[in-house]
Amino acid sequence: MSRALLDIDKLSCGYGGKTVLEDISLTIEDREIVTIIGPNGSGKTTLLRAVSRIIPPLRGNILLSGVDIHRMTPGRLARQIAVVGQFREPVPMTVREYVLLGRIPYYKRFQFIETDRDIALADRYMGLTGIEDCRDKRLNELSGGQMQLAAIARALVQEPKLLLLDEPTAHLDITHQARILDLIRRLNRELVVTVLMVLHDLNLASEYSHRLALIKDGRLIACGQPDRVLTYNIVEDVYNTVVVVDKNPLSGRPHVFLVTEEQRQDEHRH
Amino acid sequence: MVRLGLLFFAFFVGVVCGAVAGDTGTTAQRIISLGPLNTENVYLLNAEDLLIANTIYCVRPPAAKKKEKIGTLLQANIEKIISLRPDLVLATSLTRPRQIAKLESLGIKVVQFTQPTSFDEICTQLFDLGRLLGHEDRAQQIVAEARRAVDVIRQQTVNLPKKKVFLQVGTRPLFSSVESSFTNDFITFGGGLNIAKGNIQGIYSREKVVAQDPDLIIIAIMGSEGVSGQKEKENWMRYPSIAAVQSDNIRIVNPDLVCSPSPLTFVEALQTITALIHPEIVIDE
Amino acid sequence: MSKVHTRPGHRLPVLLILTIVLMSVVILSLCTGSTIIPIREIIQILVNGKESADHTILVHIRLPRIILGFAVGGSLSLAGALLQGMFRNPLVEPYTLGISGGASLGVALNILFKWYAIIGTIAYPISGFLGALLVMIFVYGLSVKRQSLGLRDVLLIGVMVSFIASSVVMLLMAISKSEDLHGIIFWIMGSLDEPNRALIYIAVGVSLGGLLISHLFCLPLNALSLGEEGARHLGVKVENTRRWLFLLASLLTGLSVSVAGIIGFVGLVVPHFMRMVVGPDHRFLLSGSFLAGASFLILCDTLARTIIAPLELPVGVVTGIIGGSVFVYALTKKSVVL
Repeated sequence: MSRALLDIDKLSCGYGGKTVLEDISLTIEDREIVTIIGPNGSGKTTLLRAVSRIIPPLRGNILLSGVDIHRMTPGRLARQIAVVGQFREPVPMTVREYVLLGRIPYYKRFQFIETDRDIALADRYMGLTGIEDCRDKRLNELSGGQMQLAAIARALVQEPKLLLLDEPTAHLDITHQARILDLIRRLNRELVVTVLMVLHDLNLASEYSHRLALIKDGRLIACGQPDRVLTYNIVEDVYNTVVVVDKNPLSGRPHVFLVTEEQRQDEHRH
Repeated sequence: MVRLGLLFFAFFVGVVCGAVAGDTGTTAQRIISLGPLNTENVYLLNAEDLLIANTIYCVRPPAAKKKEKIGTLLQANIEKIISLRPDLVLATSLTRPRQIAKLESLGIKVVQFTQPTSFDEICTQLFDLGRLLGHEDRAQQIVAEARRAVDVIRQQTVNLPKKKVFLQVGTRPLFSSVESSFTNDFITFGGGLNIAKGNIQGIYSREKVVAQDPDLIIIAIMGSEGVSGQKEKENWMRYPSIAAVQSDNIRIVNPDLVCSPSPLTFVEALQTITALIHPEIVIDE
Repeated sequence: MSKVHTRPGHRLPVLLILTIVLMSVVILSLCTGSTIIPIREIIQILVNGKESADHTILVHIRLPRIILGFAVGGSLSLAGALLQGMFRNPLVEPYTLGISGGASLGVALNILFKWYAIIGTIAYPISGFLGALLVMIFVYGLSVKRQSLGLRDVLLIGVMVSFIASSVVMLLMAISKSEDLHGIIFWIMGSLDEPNRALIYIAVGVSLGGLLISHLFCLPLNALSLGEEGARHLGVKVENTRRWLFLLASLLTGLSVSVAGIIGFVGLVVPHFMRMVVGPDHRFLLSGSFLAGASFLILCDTLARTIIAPLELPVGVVTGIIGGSVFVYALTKKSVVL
């Protein structure tokens, strides 16, 4: 039995007095890929931000390897959790400099320059994510997909136990979507890093996750393996739209098929 | 015996130090003026040979224009001053305190002559300058002459009915002659009443002038003998209720007249202004 | 895969070049003025000609100005770099926080109420610094008390405070006598000719001390370029950093303004320009800005003293015209490879 890496216990949190998440309890085991899904505005990003300690909890607590994250120093937390957020500002620094920023949690008090190990790690992860050819390019010269890979490399360089990703495939075409999610899966297996990510695409989530956590209106509706969570009545209930769920012939994972207005009318006529 | 000797020695040292430190014995030999008033006074005292430099605004008398220049009224070039090795610098109230402090810290004597507030002060300033330069007699002479001329005018006007006068020295904002300035003496000695007497620092309201209804308006702003003076006169003409406008008693004078005068130029200016206030009398020169 | 262990230290030569530029500018400034003193004569004068006018000029007039220019130029540029890093806004400069407004107000009050008649000319820098300090405390206190105030709000407050202070200064100017008026205006125009040696030493001490301390925040500043959240994710204590940076920038600015008046553009243009030359890595940007700012100000002061000699331009005029023009030119050229 693997120990729970992340233990979210009866968490309620929100912004400025308004509660966004209500009574969320979720455990994430070591080496899992758990994906948070749900309609827009349900609180998916808020959950990630609570775990990365950006928002304080109103009630409940979050434990990382058994330790309350609010009892840790920010530096210690940063050495265990790395976040690939949605925020992208094209700062005119090179990819290498950007990736090396991820080593900041490891700098000693008066250390000024990177150690050899820092540089080696940066090189390694740039290689793993496939952007080592871009190492001297500036961030604003990169494509969306490359930028995302750089962000992942920067997060990996933090040598985290838990990797948080907020919509890593947003604004990317299908090639890059696959590439990034394949990479994440590979990283999960080879580097032993646990992943907690937010995806809006149900099918991608189904394909690439060990477990899914479905959130609606700030509450955890369902949590478990994809074929337990992605059933047609749960999906219809949460997303308020008619769907059909079937298995992907190649992987056996559930896939959600949208039913168009036309098809619904045809159904009714028969 | 030893104690007495020590006392004498201390006394001797004290005298020597005093003589070296103080310059009561020697007068200045190389002067730099930082303002037109000081320059003019130096020339008046016939001490222009001692003057080695002045500002670019020192144009009275014309000979002053030819002296070495060390900057403007507001900003002096300290380096240049140092390189000319003066032993006395005559500052004005517009000289920056920092620059005065700098010169003094380099061991140069600086005497500041502030803007005179009255005719008496104009005379006192000339006296003080005379003493500094060792030309007290000449200073005395000039002051006596000026006082005489001024007294003559005062006697002539003392019994005349006082005319209400507004002396304008600035426009935008409207600036009047204030009691704390020698310009006030022009009006009082000249047999007039300065309507802006109570005003403390100069900015005046046109409304108030209209309300006070002066008999005479004198325009002495910068460039008044050119276009701006004419424009200002037209400005006043828009208020026909003012006595000065009705009797066409708006006069334009050269602004230099009201700008830092020496005792003698004060007399000249006073004569001009008295003639405007009481054109009916003939001024004894 | 070849192990390429190159460090990003290739920016160090740029710092070396900047130091050389600084030294050249210093030498140039020593030689130029109302009279030109050639380099080879300088050593001779310093050693032998103790009583000569040239010696006084060199040691008591030009050198103090150069030293103060170093301190003020460095401080303002450093403050600008810190603030631009903190606010992630390239238009932020030391005066945006309202500090210059506060200092002007302090000095205007001093001139009006003639405090300098009581305690001497030291009243100028003291009143200037107190004014700056009051604004600093006000803006800082507000941003701490209302945690909900974002960075942009703090900036806006600073700008408004600056406007208010300037308006009050203009009010004071309107009711003051012409001599006082000139005094205020000239102080505001800025100049490096402070006669008090002690003040110059304090300025140098604070500027160098500030430079040293600011280097403790190089990495947090680099992290901040990812945004506040991004920096937090890297374990940076954002509130703590902001507090320190604010304090540091305010102190550097307040001191510079109280000793030298308001010299604009140095804090805005130099760090911005250095970003193009040295890059956004604060480990090099901070010292780079300091050195460049010091050189720039000394150069502008030299020009101010010589262009229309014997008349002298206010140094703020020169920094504004040159700084602004060079900057616009560089931006439009855009061929500068970062």
